[in-house]
Amino acid sequence: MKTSITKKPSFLRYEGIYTLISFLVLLAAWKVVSVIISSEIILPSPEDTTISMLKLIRTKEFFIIILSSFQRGLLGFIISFILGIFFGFLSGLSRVFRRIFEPFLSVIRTTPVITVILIALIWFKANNVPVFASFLMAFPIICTNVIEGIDNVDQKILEMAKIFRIKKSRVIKEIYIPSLVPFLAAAVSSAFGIGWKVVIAAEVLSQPKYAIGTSLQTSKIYLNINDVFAWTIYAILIGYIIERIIRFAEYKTIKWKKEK
Amino acid sequence: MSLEIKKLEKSYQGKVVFNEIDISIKEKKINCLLGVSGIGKTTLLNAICGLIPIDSGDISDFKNKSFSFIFQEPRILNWKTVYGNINFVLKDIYDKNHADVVTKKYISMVGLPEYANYYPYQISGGMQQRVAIARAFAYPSEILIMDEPFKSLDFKLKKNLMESFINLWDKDRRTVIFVTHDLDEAVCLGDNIFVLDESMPSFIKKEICIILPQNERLSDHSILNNIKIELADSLNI
Repeated sequence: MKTSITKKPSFLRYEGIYTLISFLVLLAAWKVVSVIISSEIILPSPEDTTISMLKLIRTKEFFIIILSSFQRGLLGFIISFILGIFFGFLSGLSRVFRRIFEPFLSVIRTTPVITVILIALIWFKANNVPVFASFLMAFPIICTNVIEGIDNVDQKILEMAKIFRIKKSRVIKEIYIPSLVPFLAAAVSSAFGIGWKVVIAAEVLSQPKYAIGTSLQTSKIYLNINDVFAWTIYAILIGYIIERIIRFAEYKTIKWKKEK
Repeated sequence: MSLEIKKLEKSYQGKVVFNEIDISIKEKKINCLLGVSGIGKTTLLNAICGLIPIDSGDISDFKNKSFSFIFQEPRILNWKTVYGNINFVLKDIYDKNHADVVTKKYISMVGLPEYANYYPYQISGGMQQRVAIARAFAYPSEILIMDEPFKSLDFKLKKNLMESFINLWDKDRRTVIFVTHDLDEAVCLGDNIFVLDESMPSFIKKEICIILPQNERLSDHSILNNIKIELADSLNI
């Protein structure tokens, strides 16, 4: 029993060795395939990609590009987070609202990403297309999870609170919200992940001045496949770092939850 | 002094569960409702504490009374510690300092002072139920309702928890309504035992009064054997 208290969650425990192995396997496979293909335009080697990465990071626009894309992702996420919680709560607590709102949610959820981006290109400025697209992708995820969280509030616990005559405001604060947190945490990490990918896809088409997507597209046009790979790896790294941060925040907030 | 349930009628899911039932709940005693599963004992409890409406009859003695409850399951909040769970029911009625004193007192009384800052997942099911018992006693209710709180616990743990319960109850002697299907639990804890008939609608088939104090019963219940036989007869087991 005591050990479970001191046990750290898996991502904090020393399991780096497995990640390292999987990374090395991937790298080796990449190297082998690139040797077999032996065409820099189809598949650049890991070394060439690394060189491109180092070259890119030394350019003066690099951090502006990364930050601009990140900013778009963050903005889209924040908007979908706030609206998702708001509409999620409304649908979770009102049957009528849910009935009316659910079809909209289904439409948003099933609309092809590319349609969203194409329409956004007509409606918005280049800078805002990625924000809008990522918002529209992340919003249903947050919203659905909030609804599910509210549905999952334990009725027996609510009954207990009623018997002990706990004030309504405290029932919301100390029962509804904590019950919701695990659902929200799950939603946040997948919403951000999907939002980030959509931001870059939208940037490819909308071509803001500073953007990972724009850089990818430019590199592709000039058949600079090394740079395409280099930018992609940067995009992956950023996504990965953000996911770790979210996981860590999640661990800090849900310390009462059993480690699986 | 007693609290009367008069001519209570209640249907549940289209079935008449109770038809003009009369029960006289003795104040400051442990009133045990003994009966097989599925005859509406929980329905009766819910009606008494006002969670569900009754069809007809008079339970006005229970109106405006405050209740605390020990459920079959602990029903404690997973995101609060042992301390937090007990404090949870006290925050609305006491100021901060008093709530703190009372919380700590009851944590000690159920023997969990070292576990005050543990979350439910870090303690055993028996300890969780102990928290639920402490919470029910810490809350200054007029009536304590227990709905099969020892069900699905093994024998040793059950005895253990019953001892904790008796210790707490002995100190404040509040009115208890205790529902169970278990003969041993009934004779160990009940001052008054009401046997509910297994028919539908159910009625009080037998009422037994035990004078022996509870703390003397747990150590040696051979004296209770006659009562047990009598109760077993009326339960048809």
